[in-house]
Amino acid sequence: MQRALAFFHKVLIGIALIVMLFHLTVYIAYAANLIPFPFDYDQGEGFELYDTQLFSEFQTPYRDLEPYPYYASNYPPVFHLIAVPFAWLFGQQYWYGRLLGFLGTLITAYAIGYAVWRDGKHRIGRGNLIIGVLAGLAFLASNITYRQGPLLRQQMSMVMFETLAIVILTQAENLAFASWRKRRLFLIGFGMLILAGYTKQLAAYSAVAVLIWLFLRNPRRAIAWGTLFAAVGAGIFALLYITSDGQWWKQAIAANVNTIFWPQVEGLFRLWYGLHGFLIIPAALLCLYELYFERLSLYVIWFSVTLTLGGISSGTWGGGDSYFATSVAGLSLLSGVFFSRWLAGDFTFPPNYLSRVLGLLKPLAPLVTACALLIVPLLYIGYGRAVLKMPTTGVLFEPLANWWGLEPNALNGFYDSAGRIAGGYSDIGHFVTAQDYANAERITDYVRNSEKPVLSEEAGFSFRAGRDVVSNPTQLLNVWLRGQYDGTTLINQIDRQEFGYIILRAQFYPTPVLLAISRAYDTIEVIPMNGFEYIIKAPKSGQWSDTNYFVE
Amino acid sequence: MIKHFFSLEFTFSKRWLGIILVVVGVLGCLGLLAFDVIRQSDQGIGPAQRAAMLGLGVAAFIGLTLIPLGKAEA
Repeated sequence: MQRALAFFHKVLIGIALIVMLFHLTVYIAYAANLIPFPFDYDQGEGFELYDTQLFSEFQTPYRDLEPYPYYASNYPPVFHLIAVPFAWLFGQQYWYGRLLGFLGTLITAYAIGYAVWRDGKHRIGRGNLIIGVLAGLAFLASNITYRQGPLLRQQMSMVMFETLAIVILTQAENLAFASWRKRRLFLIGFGMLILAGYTKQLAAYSAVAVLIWLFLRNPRRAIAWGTLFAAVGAGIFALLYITSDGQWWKQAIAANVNTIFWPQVEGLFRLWYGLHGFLIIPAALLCLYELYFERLSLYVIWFSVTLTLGGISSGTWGGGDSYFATSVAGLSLLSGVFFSRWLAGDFTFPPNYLSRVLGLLKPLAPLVTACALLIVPLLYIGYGRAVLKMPTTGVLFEPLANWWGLEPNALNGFYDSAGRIAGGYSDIGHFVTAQDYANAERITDYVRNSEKPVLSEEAGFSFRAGRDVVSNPTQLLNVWLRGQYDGTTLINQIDRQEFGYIILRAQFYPTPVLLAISRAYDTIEVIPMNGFEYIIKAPKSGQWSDTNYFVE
Repeated sequence: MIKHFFSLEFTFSKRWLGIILVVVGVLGCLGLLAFDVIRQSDQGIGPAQRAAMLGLGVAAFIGLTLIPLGKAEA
């Protein structure tokens, strides 16, 4: 019986590995397809690149939005600063920013796998390498990781720094004595946390989790480390505030406080559970186990805090499914630890009122442990099906899609098990096509051929044409919603038709700006790209002064 | 007691964690209800308040179940 179980376990683990490696193949194919694309894929990528450009020229992107070019950044600087050497070497290119995000997810996956392996090594002297590998691959297989990974955005770099911080701090805590090595690891861990926070503000939730954990362990140490952490963080904050003449506070902090749209929160929580349920339940069981039978680990507190706060924040304007990315790292790690311990029979129940009840089931303990041999790989296989996403066209993917009966349900013939039902789950993940390249160049021609500046909702066309990046629409909207944007200068410039063209996609500009555009500009062409429609607007006839591109 | 609290040996027990969760949960719920009375809104308890009260209620319940666990380390 034992032999048969061990045999089936190996077969099922092999299948689980194949499933996860298939997801890795899709992820690498997506990254290889997207990284060279020299335009915005996810709205706003170009502005991250522009921030990098400004830093590479020793300028701050936290600026006053009222005067031309109406640009300011709302993100902290670490991600852009990491990309600065690439900007010096290669100029303004999308590929290195996307490559950084992609590599960040691989490092996170490695850290998760290492943490799972090390937990076993620390506890029973033997880590489970296969479960570690599966846990790391499970993180990469998540629809949320997949979609965000190869973008020129700072989200996944933040998750990388957060995960590294949590894994390093746990490692430090497991050291027996208050040695120099322990203090050094704590310093590195808190350093990672600061890097995460200055990559994206959302990492504040991880900092809260770390401080709660440290406080429960020992208030004195929490106060000491918390004070040091706050002092360094505040010092960097003050530096950014002073160098931007106060705009850092206005653009990156005040403008990011948004109201929560609760139906979006509920929809995204449902989606998150639907996709990751096979791993959420084991992760939740480990949380309950630690709560009642063991000391709470940093992993459990980190997962609980970032899931709760990140999940609620996902309902804000500018939020969305990516706000669950940290909790996906947490659940991949926790479920991996749970599986590793279950397979090793490494759960003990110290005497308390609950263990007395559970003690009735003690005769079943060997059977429960044996079941792990089958259930653990089956859960990974089930998870692999739940997060299935892939193109339905192409040499490799089309025959598979036909075989599995997958119908495209997203842009550019893409299948995504998440569907497109929850608000805040953006339309990304699909591959770009040769037609997208051609259409992007057509849009760029408008910018290139205009004698006047072009107001564009995405910066990519301006980069490609070697023209000014004018405006950051989402940030204009952020500050306008906070009642901190007047907009008279921009609106007057639109009314005077001082822009050669206006390029819109999602129409994120504040309402008064959009009204001014409607007054002074007419749509002359709509060009599809990446499944979205780009609206090209030219000044209304009679007022148009650029004779080369007069439109009736 | 305070000296012990700030010593390098002190760590929270499950009992203390339970008490903290009960206090936070109950006071939080009462605070939210009081806020609703003070605000005098016609719309009653909104979705954010409902979610917060549910979370605080769950925290208080978990706290109650932790109190009997005594001196076990939190």
